[in-house]
Amino acid sequence: MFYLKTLKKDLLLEPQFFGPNLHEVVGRLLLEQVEGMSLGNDGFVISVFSQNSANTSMEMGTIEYDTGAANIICTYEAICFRPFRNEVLDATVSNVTDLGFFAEVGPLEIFVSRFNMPEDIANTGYDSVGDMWVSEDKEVEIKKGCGVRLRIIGITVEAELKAVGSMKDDYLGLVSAATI
Amino acid sequence: MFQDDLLETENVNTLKFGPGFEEIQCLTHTEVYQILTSKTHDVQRTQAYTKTIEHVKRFGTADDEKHAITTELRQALETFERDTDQGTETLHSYEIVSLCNLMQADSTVDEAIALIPSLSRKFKEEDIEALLDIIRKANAAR
Repeated sequence: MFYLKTLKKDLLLEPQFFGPNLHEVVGRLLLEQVEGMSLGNDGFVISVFSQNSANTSMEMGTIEYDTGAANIICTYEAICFRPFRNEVLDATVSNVTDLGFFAEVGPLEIFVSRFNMPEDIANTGYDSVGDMWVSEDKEVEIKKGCGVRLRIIGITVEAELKAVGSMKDDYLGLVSAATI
Repeated sequence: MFQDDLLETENVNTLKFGPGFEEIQCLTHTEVYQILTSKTHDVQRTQAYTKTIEHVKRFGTADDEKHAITTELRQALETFERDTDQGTETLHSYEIVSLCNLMQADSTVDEAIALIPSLSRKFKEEDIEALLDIIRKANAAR
């Protein structure tokens, strides 16, 4: 789920940047350090809103004793992305293996194991020649580039945000054919 | 398994998003696309950004230059309310976005309830049909 969030970040600004362009430098530093990153429970930061919006501010913190750098507390608004348990999402298949397949939603990778696929696909099995999962009636082919609708059943918030999904319930499964 | 629903801190079926997400402001695919492409400053082309643009372009209605339709749809869903025995029910931000992202022209009430179970706890079937109607009309106007 994509959502808007107001977040806080502590930035360390070196003394060489103390000057008339301080605000721009801090803005740039914020973008470099935060955009595209996974912030644990808050999810992936996709894009920071421009610095002039209502909820952004920069508070001068303290100067560090050893280095002379200033600790600046930035409050900013960003578009973030995070999966939630039992959420239904559309995803693009990125990699197919004999244990299941990986699908991507923006920066997030979701794994769907063969045990979380409908029985008619899981039983027929993995077609290693075509690198895809095929259903019994040969109608449904899950391969790289396909669009699939899945439900998030588990999330890990460790080094990288990762999720596990399921395609077993009603109305889940293939939604669009491969575009590649 | 459904009894666990009531004990967890995070489960969208009961509209629980965990600590820090009580007032979550969700965004539909189309809205994300419009925001990301309207940026005026130099955007860092991080991998997350590129992948997100590809994703929302594929699964949203990206060729919608008419921002007005997106805003109208959002307003119509935000002001949707029905009086029930539990009081006046409105849509949660997550439900609004899920409906916009997942429902298509041929979607049925059963599909809406299967994919977004929290709806069935708040609204009757006729109300859900009315919601699907609002979305169908907006998409037809694009």
